[in-house]
Amino acid sequence: MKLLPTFFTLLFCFCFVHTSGQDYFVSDSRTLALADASTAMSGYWSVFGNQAGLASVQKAVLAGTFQNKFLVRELSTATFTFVLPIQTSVIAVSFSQFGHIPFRRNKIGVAYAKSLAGHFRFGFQFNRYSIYLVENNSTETSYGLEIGSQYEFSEKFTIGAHIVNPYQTVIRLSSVTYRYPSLISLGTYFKVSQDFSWVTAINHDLEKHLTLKTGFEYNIRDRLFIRTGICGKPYQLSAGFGFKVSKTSFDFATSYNQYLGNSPSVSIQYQF
Amino acid sequence: MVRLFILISLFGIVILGKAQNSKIGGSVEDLLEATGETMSDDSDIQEILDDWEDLQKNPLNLNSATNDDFLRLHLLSEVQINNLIAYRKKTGTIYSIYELLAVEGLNQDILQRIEPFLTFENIGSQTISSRRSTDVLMRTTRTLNGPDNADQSKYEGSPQKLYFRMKHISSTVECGFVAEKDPGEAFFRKSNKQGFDYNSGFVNFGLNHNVRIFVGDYTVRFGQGLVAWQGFSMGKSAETTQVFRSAQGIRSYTSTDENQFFRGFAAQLKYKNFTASPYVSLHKVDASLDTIDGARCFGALQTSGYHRTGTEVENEKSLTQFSTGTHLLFESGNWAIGGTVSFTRFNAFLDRSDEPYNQFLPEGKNNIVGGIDWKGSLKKTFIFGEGAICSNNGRALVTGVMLNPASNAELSVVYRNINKTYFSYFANAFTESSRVNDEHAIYLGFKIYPVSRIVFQAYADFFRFKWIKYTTAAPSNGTEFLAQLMYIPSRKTNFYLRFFKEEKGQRITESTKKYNVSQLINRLRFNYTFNMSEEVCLKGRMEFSYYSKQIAEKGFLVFQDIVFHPEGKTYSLNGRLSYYSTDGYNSRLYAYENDLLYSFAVPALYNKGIRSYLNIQKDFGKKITVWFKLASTFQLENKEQEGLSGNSIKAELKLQIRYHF
Repeated sequence: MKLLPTFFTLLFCFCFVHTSGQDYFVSDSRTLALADASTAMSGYWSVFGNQAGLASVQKAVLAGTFQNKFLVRELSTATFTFVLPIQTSVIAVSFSQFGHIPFRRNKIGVAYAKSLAGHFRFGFQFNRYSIYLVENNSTETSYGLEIGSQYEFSEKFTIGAHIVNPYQTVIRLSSVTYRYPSLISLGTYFKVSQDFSWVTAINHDLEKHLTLKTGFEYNIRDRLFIRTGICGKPYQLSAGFGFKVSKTSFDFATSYNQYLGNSPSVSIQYQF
Repeated sequence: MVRLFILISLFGIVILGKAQNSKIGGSVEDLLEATGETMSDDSDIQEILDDWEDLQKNPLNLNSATNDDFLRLHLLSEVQINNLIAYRKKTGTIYSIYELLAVEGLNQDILQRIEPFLTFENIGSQTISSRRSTDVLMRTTRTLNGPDNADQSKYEGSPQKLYFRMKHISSTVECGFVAEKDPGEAFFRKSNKQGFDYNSGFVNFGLNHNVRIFVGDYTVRFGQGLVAWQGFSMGKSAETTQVFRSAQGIRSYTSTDENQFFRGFAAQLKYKNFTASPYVSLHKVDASLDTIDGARCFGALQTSGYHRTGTEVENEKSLTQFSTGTHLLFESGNWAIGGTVSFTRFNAFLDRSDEPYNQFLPEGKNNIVGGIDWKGSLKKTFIFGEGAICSNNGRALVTGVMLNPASNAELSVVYRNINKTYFSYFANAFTESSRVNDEHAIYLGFKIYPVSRIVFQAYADFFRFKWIKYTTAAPSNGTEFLAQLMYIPSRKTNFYLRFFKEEKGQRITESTKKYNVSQLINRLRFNYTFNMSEEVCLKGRMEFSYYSKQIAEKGFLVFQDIVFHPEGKTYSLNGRLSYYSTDGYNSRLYAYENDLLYSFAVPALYNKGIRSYLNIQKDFGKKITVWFKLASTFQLENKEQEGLSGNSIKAELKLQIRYHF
């Protein structure tokens, strides 16, 4: 009885691998609301977008996010991350889990980032992927790498580049070869004014899919933010808001796909 | 098909005459190009041109103009106007256009456009009351060697198009008369013994500052257009953040669309913070009437305005449409809330065809629609919307937010949710489909000036139809994107690169099967404008199109324009040479053409050919102006009509005379 849902879930996941590999590339709610155009963004959530951005973190942060794709329980992702600046470097540990038994995938990442000469930031992350296979009752493990850099032309304008899984990690099973997707991204961050910023990114999955993304963040009140973004293809519209209460901040977002509906997400951050 | 034809042939560009007005010409072009593709009616633009012409003669005094006055510019958004008025309140008299750069949301680009219509002097009320003008305009259009001539034997009249217009404006009274004969319609004979096929007249006068009465033909525009909106409207366009409709209430009608207006009485009454706009209209419209069980009925209204053949003449004005309603607006500071009621009754039953796309639409003699609209601003945010309900309980909502998060950025969002049962005869809202019915969508548009001289604007629209449309076989959805990057190296020059993409479900019929497939349209355009001197302006464009549904098609267009306004001379010229080549009709490209004042042309270019035109304008004294246009299309290969091999040529001649006193 469990086979059928497993099959569909797997099918579903594979569909995504072939369209854009989206569910591998986890993001927090703020980034999700900005259509994931995070390549040139900095801050603690750069642990998923572009590790180079971690270099700007000044204080230790503990953060978690939960996302539910298309309101399907089986397609939810939970992540935790801890970011710690040590002298002139920043290290981060992150954990994310996608799906439920019988289909579950985990990723553990350890990242390092550093700022050079003030304007140039670079970072990399080692990932340990594991996938639970119900039919063998076993977990298959493999390893991957992410490398990123950012250059800050001025306080207003930053560009970023990031690559995930450059050597294309695979898991060979008896029935199928399971390939972890790769992704190369270029992005810009533009601070249009003190309260308003604009991000863009262009992603390529090293096969043939090109995705354009853009997002806006507006700081309407002291500690209140609203955000929106568009990406294509697949075409998605996203929106969200965030607020801060002393050292804790909350972000909410949803990404809307015309065929599949909404994917809500929530993030909580605590800055030490 | 005729509707489609009208849609295609209508948009246009006008270069207003004299040398010093070349900037206005630029604005007109920009705006029309921006709105053109979504416009559904030629006459719509006329009103804007009327406003601009009038403003050019009687510029707005920036120090006393009201919100409504600024709206007549059609170039500023509600947020910008609010900011401008707030700035004026704060700083007092404004002495120069450059001072306006300090107003949030205004920049050089915008100021350059509005400059010709503004004055900073303190014009006394004397000047305003002496404002008076009358203009008589006559135009004739004729196609030579065209396919139209081949069909001529079927029609009652000649292939000429004739147009006459007289308009008088004084400070208290405006009146006018418009008459038109379309190609193929009889003139002073057969069914039109009285002369023109279409005649329209209007008078409006102000009893005092608070009461204005409209008699004759007029249009109504309320809220966001869910209940009633006739004539000009902005839809999705390259002006990506202009999503708000500023309802102008009642306006006299001076255009030539033969159906989209009211005929009767209307008034605009102001009392304190309230404005009421009641109207009553009895209007005969075109429809093909039938009889079922002894009761008269009709399937749909005919909106082409053509009365050339026996059947068309028979259907002309065969149906009586009675409409009445009112809009009541309450304004307080930056906020306004309004309500609309509109009742329509025909003297025959509406009995729609049994097509699936008609299934949920109301039928019968009567339709009553009510709506509530609102707008208001809070600091840098402007919100607006309208909700409506019709007699069969169909509901509709259009609401939006326009944000000015920084002086160099604008962001707009529109949400629309319209039931498949919602219907109003006069609805025309910010929607994807021309019929305001069954649409669930969200639109996001933005405009950013990241650094000086560069403007980036884009929109994305995600829409979904929960029921079958005229062009679909099942519920469908779609997306539309536009992105434009403009570089303005100097006041004289600009370049832009525009990309447009639309993907939506469209019906395919294969023997007995009907289903939707995705239809994709991509267009990429590069355009430049270069004002070489005060006298000469060059403009060129290159555009590519790609279309795919079952098969793919590609298209290409290139043109070069030249505009010549010799200084101190009474004449001016402009012309174009264009070359186009497309795989078929689906990959067609539109190019807006300069035309006679108040006339529009945007031919759809497809297959392979060369099109050129020349416009000449000459003033004879201060009162008389003559326009002349010659356009020709040299079709290189005619792929669609297999019988016609080889090349063909088609020419069009237009002549217009205006007497202004």
